[in-house]
Amino acid sequence: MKTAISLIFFCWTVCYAQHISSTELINKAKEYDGKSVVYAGEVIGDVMVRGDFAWINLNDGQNAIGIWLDKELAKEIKFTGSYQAKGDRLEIAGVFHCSCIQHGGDMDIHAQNLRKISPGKLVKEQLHTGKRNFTIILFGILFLVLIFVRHQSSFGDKVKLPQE
Amino acid sequence: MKIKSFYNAVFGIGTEIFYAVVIILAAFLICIAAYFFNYDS
Amino acid sequence: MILKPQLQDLKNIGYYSGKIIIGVGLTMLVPAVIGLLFAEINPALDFLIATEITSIIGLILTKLCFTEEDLNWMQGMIVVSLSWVAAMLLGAIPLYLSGHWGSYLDACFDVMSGFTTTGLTLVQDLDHISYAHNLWRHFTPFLGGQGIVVIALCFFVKGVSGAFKMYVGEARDERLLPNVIDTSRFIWLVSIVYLILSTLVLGIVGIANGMKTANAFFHGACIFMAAFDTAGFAPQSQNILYYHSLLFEVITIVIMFLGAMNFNLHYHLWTGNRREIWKNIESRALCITLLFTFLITLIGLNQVGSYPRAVIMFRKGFYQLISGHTTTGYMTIYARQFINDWGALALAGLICAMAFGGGSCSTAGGIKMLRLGIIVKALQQDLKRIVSPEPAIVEQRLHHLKEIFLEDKQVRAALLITLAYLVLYGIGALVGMFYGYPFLDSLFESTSAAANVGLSCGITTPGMPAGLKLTYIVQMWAGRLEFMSVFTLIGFFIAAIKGR
Repeated sequence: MKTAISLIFFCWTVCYAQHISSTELINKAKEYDGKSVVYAGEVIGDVMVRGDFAWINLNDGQNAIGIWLDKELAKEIKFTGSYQAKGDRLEIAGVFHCSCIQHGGDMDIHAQNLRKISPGKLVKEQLHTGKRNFTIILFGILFLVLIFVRHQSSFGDKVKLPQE
Repeated sequence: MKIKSFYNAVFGIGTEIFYAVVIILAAFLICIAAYFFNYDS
Repeated sequence: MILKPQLQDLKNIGYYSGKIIIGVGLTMLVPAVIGLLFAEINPALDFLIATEITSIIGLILTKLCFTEEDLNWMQGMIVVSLSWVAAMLLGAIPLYLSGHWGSYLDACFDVMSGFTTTGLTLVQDLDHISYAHNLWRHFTPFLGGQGIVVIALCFFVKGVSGAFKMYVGEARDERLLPNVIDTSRFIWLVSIVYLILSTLVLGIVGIANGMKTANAFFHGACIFMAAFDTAGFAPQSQNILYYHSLLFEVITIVIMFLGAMNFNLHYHLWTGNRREIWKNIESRALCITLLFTFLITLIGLNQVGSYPRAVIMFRKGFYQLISGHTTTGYMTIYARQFINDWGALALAGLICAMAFGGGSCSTAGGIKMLRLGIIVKALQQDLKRIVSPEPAIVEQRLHHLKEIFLEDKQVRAALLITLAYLVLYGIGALVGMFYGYPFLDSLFESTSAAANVGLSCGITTPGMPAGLKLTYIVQMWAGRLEFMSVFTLIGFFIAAIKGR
């Protein structure tokens, strides 16, 4: 029983630990061309639905790679990465193309399976009080400088010199 | 005079875009020619 | 005898530099407003801080150096070169505060890259950057491409003969209209008209491609600013590859062309002289050099077999080439693919295209088509002289907006600047090799920086040596200003030390 559980656990870690990095895909593109790969990353930007399929771009922290997947698979994506949100982290299993003939030579992965590793979320922005205080102080200094400049001479006069 | 200026500007923009499109088409035709040349050889 | 700079020189330089710095500070209010509109409070604060610091410095300079004197040529050139450096240092403040740049030097690199419409970037985690910061990244080429001085001329300076000297110092030596202020305003008119048209078209295409509406139009505006100003920044880390769209790529090619055209040519076409586009030496030179470099690249790519279909060759081969030749720098491939997939011959064709550049008095960089045309015409003239009888006077004409008789001083000027560019490309390549990068990679990246292109083969990363970052900053700056104002600044410092 213990042996069986260990074997299942071993197979699971092997199957799910072998994510290929975007850097390796780009640098060894010809080697991986046409092969099945497992790639993981955060969905960034928009989910671009085109007919029955969709484009997403997955960023693994090094580069982002385009993934062409079925519209139905894309429906699982709830959050995409931007300034205000952390995108869903997905694992894609599919065929890698160094120069995809179907997609005008784009380097992409045609997804066959999708698994959500972790869901994304909205990122609530915390006001940086140091920046706020600095802004106010600088505004005060600017105001004083403006008064000083206006007092001494009329600021805003355009320089009047002989016409060309 | 202002209407003439407006039409000149519109046709000018059209000419510029036409020039760009002609070059794009020419490049595409060269790519097709190169593909056939390669395919034949 | 070299004369030491006088106090009046410093006052003139300080006063006009201050005006330009105030102008740059005010432009940073635009991303601040965008930040507030999109509820990005911290980014908005970054830009408010930067605007305040810049305005304070500008106001103090104009106050301390107040003058009613006109600028002479030396002062005009120095105002230009110095204010570009000041704009870089001050424009980097909001970027550095965002946390997306590893150091202040990296932020300065990106700002100089933006103002010089290069497009090389050291940004980190671009896909999570705020709208405000992303807009500033794309706004800097929009400002720099038209000319930072040009902005100041539009708003802050009225009827100044010294204005023309600054205008020339910013590598614009053609007057479209009798008054250089009106010339500047026409340049902005062209830019704004195309901004509106292109943002609409790209936005609609973006929506059709599946993008959200706000993103489609935001990206559309950003892509236009970077394409028309032949900069090459894009809102996402994959550059134009992010969109996976042939139509998007075709539209960006059209915009790149528009940006690489001489603004004087725009003026002639917009005022009814449509034949100029076929007669102009720059249009013809661009067609010839484009064909020549594309054939070299095509043969090279066919040899390595990277792009086996015509459509792929167009979208990957021609796209990178036109992007390089117009000195835009948009990419539909990853940087390392240039080295892995292109081969030496194709890269050589691309390097030549980048080196040649776009039209003069445009937003493009490089040696420029007018200089190449002049050099070729001069060669033709010399060949004619050889074959003609000795007493014969051989005149050479070229058509650039009007018929011009080629004079030796024009040829000399064209050759000198061309030589300066070639030397700059070479120096950058040597520095790259000094830091251990291979020859072709170094030459590629150096040419990209000095010709203000922005294509990268992978050298430009946040981890690259600081010395190389500084080298590329200087190359971008000198290349954009076409050397004269940079040399004048160096001469000024030498005179300050050695002069009597």
